[in-house]
Amino acid sequence: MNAGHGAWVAWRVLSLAQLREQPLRVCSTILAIGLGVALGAAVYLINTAAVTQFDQATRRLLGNADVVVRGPAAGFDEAIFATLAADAAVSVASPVLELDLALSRAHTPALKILGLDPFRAAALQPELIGALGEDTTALFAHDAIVLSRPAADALGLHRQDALPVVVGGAVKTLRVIDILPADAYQDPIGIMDIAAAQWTLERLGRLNRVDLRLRPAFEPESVRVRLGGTLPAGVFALSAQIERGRGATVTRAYRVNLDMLALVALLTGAFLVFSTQWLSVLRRRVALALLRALGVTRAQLRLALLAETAVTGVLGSTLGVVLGALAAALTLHYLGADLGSRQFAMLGAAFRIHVAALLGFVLIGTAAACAGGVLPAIQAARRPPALALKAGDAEQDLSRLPSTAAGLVLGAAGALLAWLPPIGGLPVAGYVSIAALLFGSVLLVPAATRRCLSAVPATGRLVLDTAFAQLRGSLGSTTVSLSSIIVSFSLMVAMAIMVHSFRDSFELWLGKLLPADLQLRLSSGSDTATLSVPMQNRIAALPGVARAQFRRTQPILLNAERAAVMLIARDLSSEHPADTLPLLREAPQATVAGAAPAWISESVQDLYGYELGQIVNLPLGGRTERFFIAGVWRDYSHPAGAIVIRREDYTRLTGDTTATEASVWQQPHERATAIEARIRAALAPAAALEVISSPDLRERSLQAFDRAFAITYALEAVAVLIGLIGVSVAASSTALARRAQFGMLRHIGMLRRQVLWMLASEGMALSTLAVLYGLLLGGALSLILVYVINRQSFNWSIDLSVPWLQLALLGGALIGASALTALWSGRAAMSQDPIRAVREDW
Amino acid sequence: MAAPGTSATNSVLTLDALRKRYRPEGAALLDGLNLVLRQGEFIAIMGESGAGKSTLLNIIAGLDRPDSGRVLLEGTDLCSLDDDAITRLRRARIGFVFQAFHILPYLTVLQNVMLPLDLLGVPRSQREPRALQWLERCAIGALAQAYPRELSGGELQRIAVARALVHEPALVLADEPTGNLDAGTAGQILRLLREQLQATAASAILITHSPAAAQSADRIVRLQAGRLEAAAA
Repeated sequence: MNAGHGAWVAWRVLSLAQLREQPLRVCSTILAIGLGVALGAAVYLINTAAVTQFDQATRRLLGNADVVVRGPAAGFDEAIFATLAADAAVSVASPVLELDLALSRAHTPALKILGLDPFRAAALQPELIGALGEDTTALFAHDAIVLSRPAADALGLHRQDALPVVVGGAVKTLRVIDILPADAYQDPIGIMDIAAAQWTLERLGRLNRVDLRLRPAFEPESVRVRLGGTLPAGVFALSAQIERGRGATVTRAYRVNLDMLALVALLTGAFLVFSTQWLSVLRRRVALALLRALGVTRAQLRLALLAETAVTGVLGSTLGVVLGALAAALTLHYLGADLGSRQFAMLGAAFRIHVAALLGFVLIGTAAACAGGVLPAIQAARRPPALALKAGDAEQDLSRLPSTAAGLVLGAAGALLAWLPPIGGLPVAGYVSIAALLFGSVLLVPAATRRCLSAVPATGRLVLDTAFAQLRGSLGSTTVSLSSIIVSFSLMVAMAIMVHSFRDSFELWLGKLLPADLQLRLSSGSDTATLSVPMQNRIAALPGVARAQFRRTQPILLNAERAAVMLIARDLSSEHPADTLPLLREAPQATVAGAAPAWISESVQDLYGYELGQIVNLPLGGRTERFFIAGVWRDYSHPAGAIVIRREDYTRLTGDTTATEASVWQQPHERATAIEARIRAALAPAAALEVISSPDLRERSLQAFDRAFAITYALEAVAVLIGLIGVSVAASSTALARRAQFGMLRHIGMLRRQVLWMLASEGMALSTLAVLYGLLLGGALSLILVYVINRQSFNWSIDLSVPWLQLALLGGALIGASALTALWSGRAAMSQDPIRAVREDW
Repeated sequence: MAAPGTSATNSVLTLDALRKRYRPEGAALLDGLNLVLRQGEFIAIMGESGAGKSTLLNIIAGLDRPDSGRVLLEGTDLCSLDDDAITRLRRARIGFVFQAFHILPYLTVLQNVMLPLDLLGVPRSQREPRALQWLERCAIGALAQAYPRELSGGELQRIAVARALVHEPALVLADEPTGNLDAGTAGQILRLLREQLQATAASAILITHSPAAAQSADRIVRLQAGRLEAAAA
């Protein structure tokens, strides 16, 4: 007989018996792995859909370009194009005007449009231009626009339909001359002839992008560096690779954090497999010893037990990828790839099944389950069968584990790692710190449990004292049961504190930034709609308006490899900027000669290394202007960073008096709806106006926040579920193993309800220990999430805020669930009469 | 040195100067113990509680190792083998009957008895008939498809006897097999064991503290002060 046959026999005997005996427990373990894999698969599919879509979109847009010259939305002099086109290294130069066009429609985001020279662009974006059809001359009309299929569908437009757009403060009408085939471009976009775009969108003589293809003899990187040195401030020469990857880079931290959350869910499931398998091996120790006595070798027994967890892993992982794919499809359909977080400002990320990736998740889930089963399998094979055949050895294993020292070392390592800086812009040390603290704390559970239980005094009440004696006497299984509950509960506590802290900070930040009654802007995120001075004066003079403040926002490029920073020009006092901004730190000096003040967000400080009081050069109006860093403020709205300057400085330096946003304070006893109606009546492009009360905007923002944290809430729910599964598995395993004991207690006169109450007391004592331990551990983990992971991932800070009520309710629910589960398991275990119970072998 | 009343020829089992101590400062459980068991011989080992009877049985079965001495099973020194080799030998040449029965509750009676044959790789076409035959020989053929939970102690121990002998081992080890049975049932089980041992020419060691149970053996020895001494038959 070969070695595999013995393992096969042992697996058959053990596993099929297990399935017959405790099908619910087996299903629970499969479900735990499944939940972890589902979360991971869902996150992966959503992220992949988003990144793939973005990558495809930018590839179509950039086509065969080797170098992309990019400037701010306001553009640069088109004479630069002529210089670039004449360069000896350049084979083809294609001028582009890339703008987010405000549409004259309520609640409609801006439409990205490309103004192209179709003949030049044909060489660089053949797929995009080829989709225009053979006759491109129709594009030369000043009002002609071609829409992508997604744009046409979203706007409900067909050929020859009119498309009103907002340019400056006026409404102009474009005409849809064609709609691209569905496979030409899968995001909403419009294409115009570049001359028509410059004319119609009032950008005469301006471009903001030039795509270059180089001659084969020239090396792109050296050409890029050389050309970059000749460009004006705020205009950069980028490699096509960096240009393509910028969107993904901006969102990398968000995606990595989601991946980490999913990994945590999977590891929690794996830990449940460990604790379940450990308790199961303890419970089946006599059967395992019998198999050893009958001739199953240690290796065969190990293999059989590992095969048990592997089957659990395969089944759970398969369930998980199905659930994950379903969750991803639903999420992409209803929430979009950015989950409302605005990390990916695009629509239409398509759900696709990645078979190889999903198979990979099945492997990962199976590996995680097997990892959870390795130690129990090794211990079971190592255990001398003779002792088990006589009984009494169950608790020796864990008492021999040298866990305390290792736990202290891991815990200390975890605490130290939290102080390390990010690596590659990611909080790698922070993640490792969390893992070390988690595992270290789990290793300390036996020692901590022993101390806590020994500190409990005798109560003089039979049921309670028996319950605690049982817990003390079965420290091994007690510890294992505790550990799985602690892991899931502490993760839940950590995430609950992190999300609550973030939400509190976000809400306070909103309150600071939205002091006015009404907020107003012409089309969200557009480059073309502005409020002229007459429009601003009209708004300020409306009846019922106490005062109005106006802001000018525009993205500026500070670094070729980073996304644009949002420049915000607004009215604020340089003596009391904290009245307007959620300031965190201020420079000691209020003014610096020759430099206007600028207040940077935390992201700008972290990404660009600016310090308080430092003099920096910012590109403004095609020139470089000097500013000094007067303060750092908290900003949750612009992940790539934001810089606030005084509007008076902006106007002085650029001559631009227009605004893109406004805040309006109403007179006492005025109604916001009445003022909104007057504003709409007073302004021509009324349909494109977004007017919202500050309370409504706050509410909408908080809803978007909650959507963005949907995955985190899902993970909290998964952690709680796995914790409850762990509770029920522990209770049912223990109750089953103690049937003979219950029978004996009934024989000597203990009432049925007393036995049940004893079990409930054990369950509550265990879960109370777990909740307290989990609160401590979760609190420590939350500090790392708040001050390390969050800060290093997103470059913004949040203030710690503990949701005591929520944690108390969750802890109470876990304790209550433990008591109920223990009662239910006890009832099931005592369902046979006590005579039979004491006769049973098992 | 052979134990009293034995000879080393045709021996299935030879124990030579076994020593075993569980605690360094404690007394030796086995202190130079010797025994020769001939083929087909059935001996009973008696002794007080804690004398080391079960320890001796575990060493013979290869489930434990002596501090010194030799255990020769059909001429093979178990002490020179690794755990896997001992396990394979135990699988083929030893059968067990336990005090606590140790019948797997979620296998049928037939499946329980087939288990040793299954482990030995005997084809299914041969396993089932052989197991059924042994169930018949133990007078529980009608219970082949029953589950252990439905059975009495006596029936469970009959299953254990069938399982111990189904693979025709050279040696059967019975550790207080009647400890959980009433006198009448105990007598039936011992008679059954005796009959089947004679039918298969297997040797057996019975551990017991019951003089009545010991009477079923060919020879009775007593474990005392770490050694075996002949006792009255």
